[in-house]
Amino acid sequence: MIRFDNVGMRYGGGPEVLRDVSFELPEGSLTFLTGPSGAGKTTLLKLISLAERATRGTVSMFGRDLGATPRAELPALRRRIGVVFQDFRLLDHLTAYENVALPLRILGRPEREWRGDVEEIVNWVGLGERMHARPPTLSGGEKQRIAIARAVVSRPPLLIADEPTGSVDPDMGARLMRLFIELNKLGTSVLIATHDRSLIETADARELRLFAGRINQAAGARWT
Amino acid sequence: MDVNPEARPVKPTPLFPRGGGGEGALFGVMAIMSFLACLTLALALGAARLAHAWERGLSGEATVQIVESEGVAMEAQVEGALGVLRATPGVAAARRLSAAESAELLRPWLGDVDLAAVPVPVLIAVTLDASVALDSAALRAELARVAPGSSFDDHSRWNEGLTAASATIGWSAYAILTLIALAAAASVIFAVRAALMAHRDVVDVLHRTGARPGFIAGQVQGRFFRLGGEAGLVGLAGAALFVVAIAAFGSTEALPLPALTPTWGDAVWFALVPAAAALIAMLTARLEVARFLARA
Ligand SMILES: Nc1ncnc2c1ncn2[C@@H]1O[C@H](COP(=O)(O)OP(=O)(O)OP(=O)(O)O)[C@@H](O)[C@H]1O
Ligand SMILES: [Mg+2]
Repeated sequence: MIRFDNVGMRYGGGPEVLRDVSFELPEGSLTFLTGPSGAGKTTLLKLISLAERATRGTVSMFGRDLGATPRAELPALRRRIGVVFQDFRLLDHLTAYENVALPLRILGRPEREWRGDVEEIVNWVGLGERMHARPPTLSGGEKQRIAIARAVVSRPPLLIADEPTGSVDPDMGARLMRLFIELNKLGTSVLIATHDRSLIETADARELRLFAGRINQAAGARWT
Repeated sequence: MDVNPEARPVKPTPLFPRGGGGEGALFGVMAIMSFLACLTLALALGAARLAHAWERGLSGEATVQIVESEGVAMEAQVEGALGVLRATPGVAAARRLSAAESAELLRPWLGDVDLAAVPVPVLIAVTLDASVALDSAALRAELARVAPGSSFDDHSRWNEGLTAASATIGWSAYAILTLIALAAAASVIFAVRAALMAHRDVVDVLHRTGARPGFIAGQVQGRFFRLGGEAGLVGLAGAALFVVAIAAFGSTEALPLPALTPTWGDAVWFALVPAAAALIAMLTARLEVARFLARA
């Protein structure tokens, strides 16, 4: 599903924030990406979500070399990836319901086809009562849940989540983790960046450790 | 008052938020551009009408002027010239103006003088048949033979000058229209850029959620289409009021040539101004969004 070969990444003319990163995530896998703050987790997820391009090395996804993929084909690939951003990135002028429905509107499908799905997932993350609230009136944890609902609503084959439980209490964190595990069982490949050890304990999953821009092999990745 | 701020919106909220592009200022600029475009268009249409009228009207008449000449008596010259004119294809009628008519024509130049005391040229008014081509060179030669003191004036030089002038007005007007359209497009570019910068985060989320450039452009262009069309209507209404006001309150000399006054037949062309404003705004917005995303 995802394969990195000696990938390096720098922002502009700055230092390399990822160095010689190589790993492979099989289809249908559930993986945690861990490491200290500033290690490069978000940067790595940006490469996977096609927001940035590697400055060296090869990134392959869905069996294609991204470096050789024409720009015009990237939107179609992006639609196959659900992203939970570390900073949520909800659109403040849309309601919670409309934020969740965004990927479906972008796919151009009519509302009657997905209205039930959207309401169901919003209810599932516990925000049925705030369905038509706008993000500025939601708490941090509520925004995070809406962001997760938006990432999964179109059932993308790949889900990447950057600190998806950073703003919720442990009970809600466990509940959201159950959602990820459930989706993974249904076939979705899931990659979750987190600092939260308790979250990692709840799932028996592979861990990819990043330290100062490198995959820390010495630390010994756990494999399922 | 909004009783329940969390009710489902009646219509889906547009994905691209309103504002941020100085839309109010753009509306004003587009309305003024449309107003100027309407007036310029009126000038172009009027110039075309004038040229047409001159070609029709002035070329329908000509004059032969006969002065005293050594050797041939005045009356013989006049009779000879009338004979030649009446035998020439393309001449519908030729009539000698009476002394009183000639005096009337000459009064502005000579004032009230005793015409009997000065040698006054005889004028022959010639009516041309527009459907038959007139060989004026041959006619001049014939006239010179029977009436050496004659000169034939079919107003063609005067006519050519006016036609050229109206053509100049015409193409100048179209050049001005082009400049107005370009200026309108430029102001739309600034507004679209400002709106995209103001809502960068929204564009970024749409982009990262897999929206194609065309989809994002679609969210932006509709708004500018509307804005352009509405501003165009305001400009058109302003131009219409302007013309009506001049006709009502200005002296008749305020509109020097009746042909320059817009007619109902021009309405179709004026209706194109708001349509053009809407299309210019929409297409410019679309291209500018595509450019913005290509750079992102
Ligand atoms: N847009 C950017 N331009 C320049 N440098 C950046 C940019 N984004 C991140 N960096 C730098 O890259 C490095 C890795 O950042 P990144 O956000 O990937 O870390 P992270 O592992 O996600 O950290 P955290 O756990 O705090 O979220 C940091 O040194 C950061 O300063
Ligand atoms: Mg991060």
